[in-house]
Amino acid sequence: MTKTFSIYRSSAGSGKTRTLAKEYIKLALQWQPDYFKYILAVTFANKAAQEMKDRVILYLDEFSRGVTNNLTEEIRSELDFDAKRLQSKSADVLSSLLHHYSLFSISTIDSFFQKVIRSFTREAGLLGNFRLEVDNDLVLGEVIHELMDDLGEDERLTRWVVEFSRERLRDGDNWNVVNELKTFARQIFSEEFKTIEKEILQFHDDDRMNAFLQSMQKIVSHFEQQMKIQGQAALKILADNNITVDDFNNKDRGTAFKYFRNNAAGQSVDMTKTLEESLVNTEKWAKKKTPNTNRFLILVENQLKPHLNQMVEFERANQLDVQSAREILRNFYAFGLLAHITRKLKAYQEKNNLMLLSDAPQFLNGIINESDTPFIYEKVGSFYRNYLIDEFQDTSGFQWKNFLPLLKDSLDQGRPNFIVGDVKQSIYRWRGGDLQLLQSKVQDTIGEQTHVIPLNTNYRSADVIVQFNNTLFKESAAAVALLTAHEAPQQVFDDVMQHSVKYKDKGYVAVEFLERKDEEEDWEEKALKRLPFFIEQLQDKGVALKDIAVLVRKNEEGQRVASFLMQYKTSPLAKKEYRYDVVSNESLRLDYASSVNLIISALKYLDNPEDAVARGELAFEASKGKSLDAVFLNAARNSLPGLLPESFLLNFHWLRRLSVFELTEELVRMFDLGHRSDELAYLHAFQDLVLDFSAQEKNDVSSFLEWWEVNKSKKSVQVPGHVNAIRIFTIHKSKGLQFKHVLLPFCDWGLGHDIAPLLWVSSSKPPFNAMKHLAVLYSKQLEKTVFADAYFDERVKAHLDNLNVLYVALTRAEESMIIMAPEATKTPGISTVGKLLYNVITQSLALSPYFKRDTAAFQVGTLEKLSKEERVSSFATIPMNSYSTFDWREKLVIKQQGAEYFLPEPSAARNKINYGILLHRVLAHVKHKKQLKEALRILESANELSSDDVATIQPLLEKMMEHQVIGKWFDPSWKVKTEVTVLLPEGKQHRIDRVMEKGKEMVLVDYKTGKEKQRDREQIMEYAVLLTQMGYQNVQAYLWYLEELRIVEVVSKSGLNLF
Amino acid sequence: MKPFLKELAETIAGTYGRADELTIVFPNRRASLFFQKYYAESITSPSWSPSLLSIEEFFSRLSDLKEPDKLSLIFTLYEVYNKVMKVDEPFDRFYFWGEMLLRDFDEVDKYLVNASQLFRDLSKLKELDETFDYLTEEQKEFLRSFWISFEEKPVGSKEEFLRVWRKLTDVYAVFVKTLKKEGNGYEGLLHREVLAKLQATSLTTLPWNDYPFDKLIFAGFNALTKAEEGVLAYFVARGANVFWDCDAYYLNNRNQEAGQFMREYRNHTILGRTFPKEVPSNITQPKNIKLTGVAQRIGQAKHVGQVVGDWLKNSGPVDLEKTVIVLPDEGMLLPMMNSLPDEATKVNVTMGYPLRLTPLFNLLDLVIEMQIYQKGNRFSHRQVTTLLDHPYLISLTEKKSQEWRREIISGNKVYVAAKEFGPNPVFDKVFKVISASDASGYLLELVEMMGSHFAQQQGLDREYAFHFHRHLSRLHEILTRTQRTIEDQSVAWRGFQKLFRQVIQSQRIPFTGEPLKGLQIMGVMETRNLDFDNVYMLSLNEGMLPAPSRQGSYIPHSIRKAYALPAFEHQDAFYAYLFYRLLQRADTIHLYYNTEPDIIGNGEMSRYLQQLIYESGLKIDKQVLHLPLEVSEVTAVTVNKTPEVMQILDQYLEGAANTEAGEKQKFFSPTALNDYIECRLRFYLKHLAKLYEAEEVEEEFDARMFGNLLHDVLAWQYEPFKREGKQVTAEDTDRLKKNTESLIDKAYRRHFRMDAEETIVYEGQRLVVKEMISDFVNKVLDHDKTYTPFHVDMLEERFIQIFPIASGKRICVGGTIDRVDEKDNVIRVVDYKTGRDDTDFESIPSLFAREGKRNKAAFQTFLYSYVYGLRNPEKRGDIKPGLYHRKKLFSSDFEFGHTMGKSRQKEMVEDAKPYFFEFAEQLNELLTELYDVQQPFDQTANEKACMYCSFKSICRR
Ligand code: SF4
Repeated sequence: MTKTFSIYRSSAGSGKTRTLAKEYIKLALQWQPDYFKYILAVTFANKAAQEMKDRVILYLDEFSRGVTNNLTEEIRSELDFDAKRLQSKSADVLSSLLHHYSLFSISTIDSFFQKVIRSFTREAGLLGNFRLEVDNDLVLGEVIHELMDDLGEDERLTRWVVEFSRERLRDGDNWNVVNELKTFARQIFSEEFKTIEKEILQFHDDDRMNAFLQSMQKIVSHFEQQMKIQGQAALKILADNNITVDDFNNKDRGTAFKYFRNNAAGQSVDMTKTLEESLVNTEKWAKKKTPNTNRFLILVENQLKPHLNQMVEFERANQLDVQSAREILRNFYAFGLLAHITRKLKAYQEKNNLMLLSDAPQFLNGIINESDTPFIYEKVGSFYRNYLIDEFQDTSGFQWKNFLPLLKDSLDQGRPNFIVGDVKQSIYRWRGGDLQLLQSKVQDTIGEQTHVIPLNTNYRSADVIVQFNNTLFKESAAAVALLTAHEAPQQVFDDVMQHSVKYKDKGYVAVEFLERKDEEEDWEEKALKRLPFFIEQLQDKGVALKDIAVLVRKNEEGQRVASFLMQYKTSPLAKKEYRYDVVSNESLRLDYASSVNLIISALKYLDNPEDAVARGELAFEASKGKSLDAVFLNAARNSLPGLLPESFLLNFHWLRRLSVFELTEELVRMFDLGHRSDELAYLHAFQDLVLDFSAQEKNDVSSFLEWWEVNKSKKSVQVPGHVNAIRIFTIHKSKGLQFKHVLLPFCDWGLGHDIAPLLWVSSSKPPFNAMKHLAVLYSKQLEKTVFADAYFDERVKAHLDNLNVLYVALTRAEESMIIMAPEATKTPGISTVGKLLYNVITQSLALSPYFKRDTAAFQVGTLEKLSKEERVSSFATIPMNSYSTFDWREKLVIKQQGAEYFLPEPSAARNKINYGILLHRVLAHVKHKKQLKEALRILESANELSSDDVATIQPLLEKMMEHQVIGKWFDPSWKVKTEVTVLLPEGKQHRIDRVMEKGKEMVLVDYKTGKEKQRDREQIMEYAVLLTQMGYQNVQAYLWYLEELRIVEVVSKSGLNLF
Repeated sequence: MKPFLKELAETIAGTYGRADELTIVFPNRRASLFFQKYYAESITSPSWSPSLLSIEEFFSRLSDLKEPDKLSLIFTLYEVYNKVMKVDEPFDRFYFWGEMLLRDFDEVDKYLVNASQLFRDLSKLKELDETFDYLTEEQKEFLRSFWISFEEKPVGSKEEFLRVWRKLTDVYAVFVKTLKKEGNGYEGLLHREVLAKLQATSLTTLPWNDYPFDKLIFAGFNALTKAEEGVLAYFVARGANVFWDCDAYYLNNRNQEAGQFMREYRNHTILGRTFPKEVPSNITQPKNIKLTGVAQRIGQAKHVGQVVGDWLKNSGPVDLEKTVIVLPDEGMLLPMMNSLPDEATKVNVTMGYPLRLTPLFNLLDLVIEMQIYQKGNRFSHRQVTTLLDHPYLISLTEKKSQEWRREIISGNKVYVAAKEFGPNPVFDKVFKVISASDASGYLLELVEMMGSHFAQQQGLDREYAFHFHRHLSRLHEILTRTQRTIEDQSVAWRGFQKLFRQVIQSQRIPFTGEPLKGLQIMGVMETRNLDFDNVYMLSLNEGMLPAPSRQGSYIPHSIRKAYALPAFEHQDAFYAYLFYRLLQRADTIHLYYNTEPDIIGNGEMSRYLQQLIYESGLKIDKQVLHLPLEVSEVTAVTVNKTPEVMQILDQYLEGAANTEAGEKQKFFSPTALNDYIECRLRFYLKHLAKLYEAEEVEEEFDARMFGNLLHDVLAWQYEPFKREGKQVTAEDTDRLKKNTESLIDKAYRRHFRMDAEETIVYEGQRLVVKEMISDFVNKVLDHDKTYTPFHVDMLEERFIQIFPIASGKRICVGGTIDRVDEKDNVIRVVDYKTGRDDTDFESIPSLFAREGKRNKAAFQTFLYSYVYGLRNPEKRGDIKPGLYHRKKLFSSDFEFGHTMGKSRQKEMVEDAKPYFFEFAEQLNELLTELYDVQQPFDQTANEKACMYCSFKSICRR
């Protein structure tokens, strides 16, 4: 049996995109030129999909032109093609592909799902034009807002919220639970929640929740009550015997005294060593050599020790239940509200006709409904035969389930399919990524057709870096496995060893361990201060700034690096011969740009002129250079002339009527913002946002400002490739990218969770099994609960996540990598990646020789520039130096049609005025009397006339047909043309309302409304002359004043009558 | 190069006889205009114009049916659908689906498909072979491949699909019947009917003239529907002629989808005759092609503006009308118009201004929203205040609306009753509770009101009203025909809103302009048949050109293929033709695309560009737009103590206010001083310049309001004891708890300026707040109980204290002390804190320190204690400042008082007096600095302080 299902395990830098492109091209070249339409390749990120598409086209283009590239050989030998065949086949495929581009299916998984869903809206009960929303938080905010509005109306809801608030107040937290709920409720977007959502909505009704809550509270309170009584009893014994805290050895530090006292006060106490000893050893209780010592010891032996034992035993016997109940109670109110929020969210989506992008996989899952024959895909016309799925480690359970029927179908037909991924780079578990799928589940599901191919050649990094990572991660995985008592880390890193092919024996890795804290600064401060040194060193080697990347774990760290370097640049420490420029998305935020702020504050001011802060901002931005005290004072006093352009102040009301986009363009003009060349990129990016926003349903100024307030911190100019500056990336963003030189200044994130996540747990142990699902906060406390398994499980996963992040971070560099971490602490244990790094480096046989204890630095290889200059792009760059904006209203006007439509007394007057126009319109369609009714009907059904109009006009028209002269004109004996055009050689045209021809006779009529004008006569006379010139003999011409039903004979039968 | 229509005009003028006998049919109207102009250029004496028709006009003249507007069609379909399917779907939900279904039916007819066979359920596959012998094997294969998935028992979405599918034949049949009965039809129906009629009769002349068919000309057609194809063939067979506009480049290369249709027609037995022997080959002629990549959209328009501007500046007089800017993305119209250089004096735009960008749309939508959120005959302040601030209402009510708005805000009215407005003719019309079934009438009335108001004024507002009036009248007419009533008004209004938005969404107001003059701006479809020397094409991205693949159809792709209905390939080929056609006769071509795909990865460079790059062999200048980028420099914001600033500061000196004239003495509060310590600039902006944020209705109870209510209630609780000098006992505190509720009501009334009789409705979060205040107050009483008996000395006591500094200035500092009580020689200075305040601090200097952790609350209570000490020197007891604070109030280890010291050695401050000296020194230093001319108001170095500051955007923090 041939194995048709290939899993490529692609470690970092192993040429994943190349492999995919190759498999794609191989499939595409084998059959008829348009076979590519049967191949679907999906990946996760935008850029990756684009890159893959580009690669396929580029390869094909080169093949078809006979250019040899790094794939030519492999393709030829694997397909057994000769050079000519490859060339001609490639040309065919490329051409077919370019001309059937819609069928060229390499896309992101989201976009593929969207495509499917869009064509499936009817059955799914969606409105077809639903809006796709990517911002969950935004929606959640609205939903919770609406939920709060419902308080008072919905009693149960109110009770939950009040109790929740009360609990928070009692704990000394902010009683306003809105923010807390917003954070907590993010849960409902997680795939984990979605898998149990139905059950939660079904089973977790308020009554059940209440009963459960009470049972939990009872467990805790019963226990606490008992402990309190016991504690108080003990204190009484002490008091009765005149023993005080001072008689205790170590007073109340971890002693039995503290145990008694705190329990008596209703507080729990953790077990300490002292306490353990106190349970068995009487001697340990008392402070030596006091007058009371002996008396006390006797008391201990007889009463206190047994008492303590009894209490501890009682506590231990109840611990599991009590702890479990406590953990459950910690979030119970918020948990109770989840069902409410989920329901509200659904209603909100329905109401606003929107779908959340994050809902798509689940949604699709719902309609696929585990069926084997994926009707849904058929309906879209996606008859794919081969599937290539990239970044598989980030695939979620739902996504996999959605693909499974497709894959199975294809495999059943014996067709090859591919998935590519690297479990070691799975860092998106929080977004639903499930590395188990790639690790084992997929293989288990598909079975023996599977064929696992490790890609273990590293094409990215220099030899030294590859070797370093090989050792480091092999040993780190072992260490983490030991730490978590679980084999998973080692399994995941099983394939970590790579061959290197690039820059043999070259490359550079340095790890510096910095002193943790001294008088003035912490180690991170020190790491920052080391950065300029490395940056200078790299420049000494000829490295350009744009080839250096700083990787950080969190955005804030990136900000810290950016602002440090920016300050450094202008400080006296900076050396003239070096540059320190840095860019990050963060540092290019739009709301840091002056022009953007000016526009925003102007909008705020227009939206609410009473907002003095907005006035202050606007005045401040608009009057740079003026003395600020006056600026702010005048702004506060609302005396703005002089501070702001006159045109702006004068046109205040006019501006307020403009749509947001028009308004912002106008502001750019009024405040002359287009000429600040350093602001151009920001202004452009901002106007693009405004333009996008204008497409939303609600797009007035205040909606825009609300939206901006929420989103401004996320909006920045994208870092363009051509800027020569150091880049800052978070490690997550850096995934899939590579940089020549990498600096990792803060390599010390925790291996466990930073922020405790919520775990969805369940237990079969009564009474905890009364609820099917429970939410508890991840913490060490869970060890002592019935949910211990879930805790340990999560713990392993968390460690893996963080180890994977380290793997991603350390595999980005091509030529050199410089890492800084704090020096190890005395306390043993590996809780952070920094400690892990230290441990492995100092203990590994292969690495430790390069570690110098005196400087606490590790260094291997030499720092040098390895790469040559790159080829330049075929695209030239062209500059743009201003944001030019012009008032279009001077060149163009909106057509005025409503001029006579609205009059003080609308109904009566409107008809009167319009009636001439309407008559004209109808008559254009009437050649002969009998066509009259028909014409009216046409115009009515085309919505040009209302039924009211028809009712008024019809009698009028009929009356006209009775008219002596007119009646004759509409006689069928005439050959009639309406609205005919006469053309003149120089391009002029004349349109004549009615031309009638009978034998030699020719009659022209022009319809007129309003008063008689001399001009009317001249016009028709001109027509008559024209017709005479065209060779017609007996030309008569009339004017017909429609309202008055009056006819003026301008040219009579007898010929041209020039008055 | 010579435009196609000019070529055509010359040919016709040269080869055909009397022009008035000629009928020329074009794909659209615009072609006629241009043709006419070219025709005039090619004659030497006055002449009739040939009769020029668009294909639509041509069909409608041939047909007995008339086409009603889309809304009516969809409504008729809606009624039919509900009847046939036996459902009762609301119209607004149906609308989108109806649009789609109408489109499907339209195509079924245009492509002459047998509807009853198309909509057959073939899930029993046997039927397929029996009934469909007219289909080719390939077509049958498509059908099979689709229906095969139905072999097993259909469930879920499949079942749902079948249920609808099976009925569609009936829906179609009844729909067509209903329409025809009224003499109506949609486009496809007209086409089908015309073709059938033609084939049944044998015309010799067109019904409206009596010239032979060799006077009939079709020109410029490409993708014909089957019905059009049939009609054309009918006339061609009888002598009519067709002129095709094509180029060898795509016609003769079978791979080029642009030539797909033409190739078909060339092989057509009848139409084939009309093709010329020699097809011109213009595309491959040398041209000037520039391809420009721009990140995002705006830049494309701005760059075109710049290029056109430079060109016009340098070129001398040019024929602007030979230049076109093509906008495949309709959203680019406004950016483009705002980028047209002033040198382009004349512009003609064939697209319209979107109605939904007008202020009237905002107003109407807001009004609808207001009705949606109406609760018990009251409107939410959110929409009401925004409405009152709408420029139209301001103008209509001569600014009365702004007064109302202010009143609502200061009265903090979350919900406003309709009857509270008025009497005022405008408000009466706007702010009334309307049932959703009267929605359209209500809006119509409002539009009428706006229209009449603006009737006398020139300008756009009247124009907007005009257009809205037209669309709303139609909507109104249709909606009054529905009988359906929905109980839930908010749901019904939502539905109406959806409908309203959908109807308005696609509406445009035309621009005036002379189509033949000036720079031309148009959409892709409008370029049909037209040629320009200079072509600018924007948004050349997938999803724009070609446009997104179909707008949705209920007919699955395979079934479309089986019945030769157009599928996305059809549309792709259609756009390909439009694209290449624009290139074929142009000299200079500027192509733009967005280099950034959208968020889910759609919208890469258009395939047509890739085709040009990879296979055309044409020389293309490729470039990307580069915007200079600099990291915005953050500059320091500093306000110097100018004489004017000093003057303001001096208003805080003793005696600065003319109290006799009723002026109040100004003073610095602890909050102000806290601000000063945290950030001098913030102090200046907030307390001296007085830049305040605008007041708004606070529906979400903010912390400040919570605090205010709490203070009131606690003060009132102890008020009698203070007044009567009575001791507070344990029994008292228990008793006081009973008052809490009613005092909260009282405080609430006071805060929201309500009358005593007005009933209070605690809604939304206010409900929670009430409970929380009550808990808080009662807990304070509990703590007080353990402290009883004690005396109450002060409650909410205001004071101003003078602090002289070395310069001789005497500075006023003041505030309100929440409570001072006394027991056994201990005087407690109490402050209630509802925020995050803590009780511990490091040292007295730490209270004045700008860096590090600072305890604002302790600063305040120490200041109060100090002032109390100064004013009551006779009191001998300890002065103990402290807090009743949220963070610890409910904790079992709550203890009144502050602890002072380094982290491990904190000790309770039982008496503040010993620290007064140090405190006074520090305070003096602070005030001295505040009045020091040399010390400007600058930004804090401690960025943490900026977190919640209102001036963040000024400072870029
Ligand atoms: S943002 Fe910061 S620096 Fe600016 S005024 Fe506020 S606190 Fe001061």
